[in-house]
Amino acid sequence: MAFSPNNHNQQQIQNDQRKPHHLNKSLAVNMDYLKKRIGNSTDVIFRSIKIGHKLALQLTIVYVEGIADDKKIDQYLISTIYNKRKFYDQSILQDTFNKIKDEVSSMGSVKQSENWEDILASLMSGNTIIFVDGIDQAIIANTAGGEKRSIEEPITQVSIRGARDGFIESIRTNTAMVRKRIQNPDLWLETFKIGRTTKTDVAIMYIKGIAKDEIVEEVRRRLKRINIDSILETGYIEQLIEDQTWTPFPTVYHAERPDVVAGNLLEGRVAIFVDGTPFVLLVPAVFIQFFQAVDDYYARFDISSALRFLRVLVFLLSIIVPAFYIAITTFHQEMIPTQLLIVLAAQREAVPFPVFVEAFLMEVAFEILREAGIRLPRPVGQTVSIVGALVIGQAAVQAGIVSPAVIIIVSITAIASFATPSYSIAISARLIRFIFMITASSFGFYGIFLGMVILTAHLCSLRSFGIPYLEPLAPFVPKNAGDTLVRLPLWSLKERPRLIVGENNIREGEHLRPGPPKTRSIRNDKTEGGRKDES
Amino acid sequence: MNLKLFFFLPIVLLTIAVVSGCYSQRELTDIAIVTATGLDKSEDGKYVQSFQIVDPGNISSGEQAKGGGQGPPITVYSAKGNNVSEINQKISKKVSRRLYFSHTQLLIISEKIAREDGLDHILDAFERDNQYRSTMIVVIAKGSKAEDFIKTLTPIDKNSGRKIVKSLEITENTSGENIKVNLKDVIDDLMSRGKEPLISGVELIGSKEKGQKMDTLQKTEPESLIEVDGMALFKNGKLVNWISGKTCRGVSIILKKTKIFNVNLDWKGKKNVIAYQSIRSNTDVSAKFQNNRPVVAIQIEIEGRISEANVPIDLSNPKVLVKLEKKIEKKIQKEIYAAINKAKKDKTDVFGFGELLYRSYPNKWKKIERKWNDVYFPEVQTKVGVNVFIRQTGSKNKSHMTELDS
Repeated sequence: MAFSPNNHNQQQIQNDQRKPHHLNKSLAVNMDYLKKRIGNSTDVIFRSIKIGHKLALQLTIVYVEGIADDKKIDQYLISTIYNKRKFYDQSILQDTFNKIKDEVSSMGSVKQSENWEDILASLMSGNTIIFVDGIDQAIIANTAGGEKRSIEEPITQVSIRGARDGFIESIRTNTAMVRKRIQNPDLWLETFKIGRTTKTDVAIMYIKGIAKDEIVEEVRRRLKRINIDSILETGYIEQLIEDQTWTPFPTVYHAERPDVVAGNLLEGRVAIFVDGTPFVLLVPAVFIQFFQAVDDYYARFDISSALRFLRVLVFLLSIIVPAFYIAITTFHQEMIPTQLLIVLAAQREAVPFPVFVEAFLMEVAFEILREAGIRLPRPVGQTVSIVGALVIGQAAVQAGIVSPAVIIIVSITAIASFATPSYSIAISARLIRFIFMITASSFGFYGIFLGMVILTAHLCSLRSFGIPYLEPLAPFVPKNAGDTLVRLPLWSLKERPRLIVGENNIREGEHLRPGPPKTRSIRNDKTEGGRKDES
Repeated sequence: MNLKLFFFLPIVLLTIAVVSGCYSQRELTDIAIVTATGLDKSEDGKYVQSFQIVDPGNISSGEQAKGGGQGPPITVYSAKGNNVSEINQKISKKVSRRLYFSHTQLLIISEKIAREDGLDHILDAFERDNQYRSTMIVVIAKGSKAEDFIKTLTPIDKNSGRKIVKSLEITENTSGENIKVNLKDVIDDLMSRGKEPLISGVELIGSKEKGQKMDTLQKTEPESLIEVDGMALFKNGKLVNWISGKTCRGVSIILKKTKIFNVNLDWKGKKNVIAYQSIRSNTDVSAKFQNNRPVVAIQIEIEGRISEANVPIDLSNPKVLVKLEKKIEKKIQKEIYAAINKAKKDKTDVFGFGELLYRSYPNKWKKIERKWNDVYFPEVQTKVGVNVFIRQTGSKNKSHMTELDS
């Protein structure tokens, strides 16, 4: 949180000289101090202009190249002052100072400060500082800008149908993208600066009246608690504000799409934007949220429901398929159809390892391949996948080290783990899978079900910002259960998540179910053109 | 979570996992999958049990097909002992793996055991063991030793146990000349006084020695053939007689075991020129006491089609069809009576008439149950009614010969 008097940078400076809190009247002294303070960094640009009738008064314009908008500074700020340099009256210093301030304010928000900390912080966030000789105050002009990536399609949250824009690394652009979607004065935005050294812009966004005040207050409280030198990504914040660290499951959702954030804000969640990353955090997060893809809401309900169900099922598969194979081949052979058992036995005949070791080896091999493939440059990545496919798929089987059935199992698991829409929950399945393999190899199905019981109990114990993680399944909220394992027709999802939202939980009006008029009568009654009896 | 607990808990869980020693764990390479087992009686009066074990290394599967399939797909081990459990212990000296009976599909009992000792004394071990399935099929080895069937190599379905089970299933469905009886059925029938077990037989045709060599699989016509044939009638747990062919079919119809069967008909003096095939059939058996004498009424409804007509006959004529239907009815009725009479002669109630009586007259039954098979069953009065319908005549009405004739 903000600037505390005890931080390291300041201590260093204190060693050098007596710390000046305020500007000096002398421009030379100020510049000396500033240069020393920033270690003569070469990306800080100093430009001096002489003003006044005799051009005797010096002012210096300071900005950081790259993060300030060069064009704005050159075309408006400097040229404005330069063109009128002779009209300034150098004898009445304060008057001149105010005049310059007025001129500059035509191009953006302007403030003045005499506090070095203020000035330095502004300078480093891209503002331009104007020092005038003889005045112990400086003008801070908002010229923040610089290069940023253009808006592109999000990479981690792809949708078939739906908006194509994804967040970028600029917080202002990101908040704007959401505001464009929710054009409502109730969409509130609060900004914090977090990170003692990085002083990163962090903003929370919520819809006043829909988001519960207690949750907003809790988010605020947790953010203010953070006392860390740097925030480089939302991950830093996520790890410092989540409810439970000792869990493989994520309790904070992150999104790369503005429409996802807008949708969640409308469900009463709070978004946390961080400058410098295209990811936006959403709290409180619930388990089922990680299986919801935007397409679910854009496509019709039947296919959405089927796909949602498939995703949850596939998540379960990615956890227990290897464990199931181990259990059934080492403990419960009687459950395999005879012909299949004989085929499996024939495959295993030459394999020198127990099933568990075999499956474990292959799963580890797959994880290695996956990890190696992610970070490699694309051309090399292909080589890795080819080598992996050949080594694992062909050679291992032909050499008789593993059986083809295990390859099939590992492949199914791999594909299943990619079918989960949220990467953060898919990777938690990766870890759990290994635990289940161990329990299955020591206790068989009993072990798997024991693991399931513990897993369910653990999920039930989790909370995200006070909201039960399995909401609305446990505790069961019938009104909200329509958007969990299935996604019911839009007109039936009348309420926002009750536990998250609080009072203002009615999302849609009555009688939304579309259909032809019930009667063909043209009587002028109240039900004309619509349906009356929908509950 | 408490940090101490966080480290402590996994250690505890891991210990449980390791220390438990993987109770009841069996690797696939440590078990010998027994697909069929046979029970014989040796000269000195002991039992000999033989086990048909799948040799997975010789099963061709997928890519390994080129390498595999060198030796026979099955291996047979046998041991001698006073009872099944003793044999199980002795066999472990011979086999390198633990025998695994959960996939044993077939139990073959030699005719000698069935005739001399009866089934009562051998089946308990199979029922009590938690690995043997109660759905295991039971057959009687007709004429030869059970071991020979276990050892015989069969083409198509590579192990003879599976071959016999599948053959039984198909003949039960399509001709009714055999029925598939599993361990549980046999034991149920043994326990009941109102019904005696009826078990299908298997017969070995050809040379039994040659049938056990891989050479037999190299030929288009195998050296020895396993055929499911006939049914064994039991009385008091012992085999008393065999029935075969049409008699078996009659029994199957009464027991509602078969739906599809063929009936050949004569037409205008020519023998067996029309074939009728049933599609659906239903049998309704009811038993009651009339004048203190048991009376059984059997009502059979059969629907079917004409599958062959090698005479000029006009099948589009309803009158002709009615005539045919009457002929079929008479023929089937005769078969049913023949089947019942055969059982009556052997004084064994394989149809379960006694059970029907017991259900309707539990008190009266109690008095006669001990004498049922010997006194009452042979005297039972039966009324058989058959209703046959010809629903289809196949793809054509008149035979092509009809046109030649006219």
